[in-house]
Order: sequence, then structure tokens, then C-alpha cells
Amino acid sequence: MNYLIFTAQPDFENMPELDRLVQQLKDKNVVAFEELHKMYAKNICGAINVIVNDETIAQEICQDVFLKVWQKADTYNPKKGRFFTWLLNIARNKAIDYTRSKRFKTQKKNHSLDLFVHILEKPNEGSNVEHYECLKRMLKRLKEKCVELINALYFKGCTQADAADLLSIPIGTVKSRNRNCLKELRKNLEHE
Amino acid sequence: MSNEELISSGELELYVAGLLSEERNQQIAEIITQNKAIKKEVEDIENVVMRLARESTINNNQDFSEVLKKIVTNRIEDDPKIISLDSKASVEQKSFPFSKVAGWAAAAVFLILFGIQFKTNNDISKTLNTSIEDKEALKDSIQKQNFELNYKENLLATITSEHTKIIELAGQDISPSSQVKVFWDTKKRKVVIDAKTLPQPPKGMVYQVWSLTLEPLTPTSLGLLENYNSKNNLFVLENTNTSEAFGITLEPAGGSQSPTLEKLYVLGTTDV
Repeated sequence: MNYLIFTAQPDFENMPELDRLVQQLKDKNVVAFEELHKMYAKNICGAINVIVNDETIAQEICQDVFLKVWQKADTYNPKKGRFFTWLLNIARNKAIDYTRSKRFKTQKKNHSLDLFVHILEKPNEGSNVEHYECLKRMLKRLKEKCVELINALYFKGCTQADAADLLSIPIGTVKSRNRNCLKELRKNLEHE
Repeated sequence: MSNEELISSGELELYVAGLLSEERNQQIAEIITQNKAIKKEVEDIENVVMRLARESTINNNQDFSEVLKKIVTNRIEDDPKIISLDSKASVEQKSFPFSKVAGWAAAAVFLILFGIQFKTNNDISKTLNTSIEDKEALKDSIQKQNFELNYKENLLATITSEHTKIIELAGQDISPSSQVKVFWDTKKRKVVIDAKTLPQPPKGMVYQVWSLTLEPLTPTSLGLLENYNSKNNLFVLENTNTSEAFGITLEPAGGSQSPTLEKLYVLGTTDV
């Protein structure tokens, strides 16, 4: 009968760590899920905070993102992109959904979505001084246009065409500028 | 295209952003599996974006247990999602011997701890490092067991409730060997569908569960058995109807407004 068909087991031993964890997540392995949560939760929470600008809300949405990751893990296809890209996409959609909600509109009427600008302008207070200083140092070395472009492409979920419109640059420039900006940023990080 | 050309093209940055066409994504994913330099480049780009994202939060404590709580709550209380239980026996028995399982689990944990202790006596300095790793593994293992136990308990609470009726759905002409059990908790208004004997649905098709009232015959959809397979064959669905029968039909993906009777796989009445 059809339902007795056996499928080949993946060769876990020879898989790179991330691929192995993702495959195990697809098989509903809670330990692998926790490991992936450890690896990505902070990044994903940060990416959400870029959009919602509220740590508590970002954390709440982040939990929902991982709930969805658990539920929809079987739909992730490595041939369609990186696992991180898949996570980022879910996070962005959830965060953007939130910004369209009544709760957000009533609480954050004058909220700007430009996170990097927001962080750069954030006063150095309390225990966060060092944290923001680090980002400041990094971003200060980037041109303002780079910040806008990276923000648009990676955190706001803009297409190349959207980003070209937003920044009033030719669409052909988006790819090369993004490349140069990230290259610059990588260089800065290496010197950190 | 050489490595240098691909790297300097800016495509890999767009790949990480998820902005390439599906076809190009597949091509690059394929290149990554075979080309270490490109793989490294993509990972470096990804690390920069991850670093930027991470810098945008000051919250260091992402609590995994909160995610687990949401999963359990969502599965058991709100969402008719698939419950992945491999243990067939645990479902079929009305009362599950949790105390015995817990006893065996405790014994297993004790044995593992005993093993760690024994090793410590033999080689203290070596074991000092490994025991930390073992404890972590043990912690993970216990956490996993607790999680699984927790949602199995919730599921079994529905199955074993005094308000639960058990309805056998018999195989119909299209699949005489199929036999499905429905555990209907009339108080919590939930049904647990144990559908393990249904054949694997063809691609693009999905099983749909129907509640039926008989006079006049009125079918109401309770939901789909999404991603049904030999491992995922236990489902929890809401049922607010005064059902007189339950049936399962095979429908196009996404389900149908009304059941396709030619594809009725199992059927059973509740007055048993």
C-alpha cells in the first residue's frame, strides 16, 4: 500500500552543521529547533526591532516567528534560498503586519521606520552605551545612502525596483551599490 | 562565470536578501553546494546582515521556553495543526501509562547520570570537560522529553476525557481497508482524528474531515489533514457541531466547499 513507502534517511553525519539542524527541524526535532533558536533568535529579534522599534513587541513577534518556523519548517526549501533568508522573510512579514495593526497605529503614530537613523540618534544612556557605540562606529563609516539601501533591501523587504524608487537611483545601480556597501561594512567589521 | 565574476556581480548579496528569481536562487544554491569559495562568500555576507540585525536589539534573553509554550498552546488549544506523534500505541490505548513511562524515563536518566559519575571516578580531569557537555546533552534531552510529554498529556486528556466519545469510521468502497478513529470530546468541542490507516494522498490532494447531521444530510467541514503521511497521522480539530456522523473525503489541495462523495474514504455514525 502507498502509505508503507519508506523514504531514504538523510546522511546526518556528513552534513554541515546548519544543514543537519535544519533537516532535523523539518523532522520536528525539538533539540535542533532550540539550537537554531539560539543561533538566530537575537538576529531575528533585532531585524523585527528595526521595523517595530519596540523591544518588548519585537520579542513577542520573534516568538511568533519561531512558532511559525516550527509549524512551517517542512515548507522551507534550501534550493530556494538560505535558511537565514527564509527566517528574515517570515520576520519581516510578521513585523510589517504588526505595523499595519490598530495596536501599532495607536501606540506609534509618529514612529519612523528608519531604524538605523533611529539608533544613531538614540541618546547614549544606561547600560546600552557600549552597545550603540559599536553600531555607531560601524555605521558612521558607511555613507548615508548605504544605510538607506541596506535597510530597504534587508529589513524593509523592498524589491530592487522599490529600493531604486525610494532612493531615486537607477535600478541597475541598486545591485552594485549594495555590493559596495556590504563590502565596506565587512571591512569595518574586520577592523572591529 | 568565474568565482571572481560571481562575487563581484553583487548577485550573492541579493541572494542573501532573497531578491533573486526562483530559478537564479536554485542555480546559486547548487553552486554553493559545490564551491567552497562561493559558500564562504555567501556566509560572510550573511554574517554581516546578521550582525547588523543583532545590533538592532538590546535584548539578550530570547527565551526558548516561551516559544515552546506558544507551540503547545497553539497546537492543543487553538489551531487544528498536525500533531506529530510516532507512538501508535499511545493513541490507541484509552489510558496511557504515564507513571510507568515517567518511571522508565527516570531510570534512564539515573543510568545516564550513573554513567557520568562512573566515568568521573576513572578520569577526573578528562571527565570534567565531558561531563559539562553530557549535562548539557542531558538537559536538552530532558527538556525535549518534557515538551513531548506535555503535549502528549494534553492530547491524551482529550482522548481520555469522560466526555469523549470514540467513533469508528469504517473504510468505504474506494478504500475498504481504511479504518479511522475519532475521539470526540463533546465538552471541549474538539476531535482527535487517528487516521493512520488512510493511504498517502496523491500530490495536490488532501483529506478533508466532515461532520454530518443526517436529517437532512448536512455536511460541515471540520478541517484538512494537512501534510498527512505515515509519521503525521494524528490531528486535533475543533468541532462545535452536533455531529451525527463523521466522514473523510479526498479533495483538491485547500479543501472543498462540499464533500466529493465518490472520494469518501471512511464514514461512521456517532450513535455507537
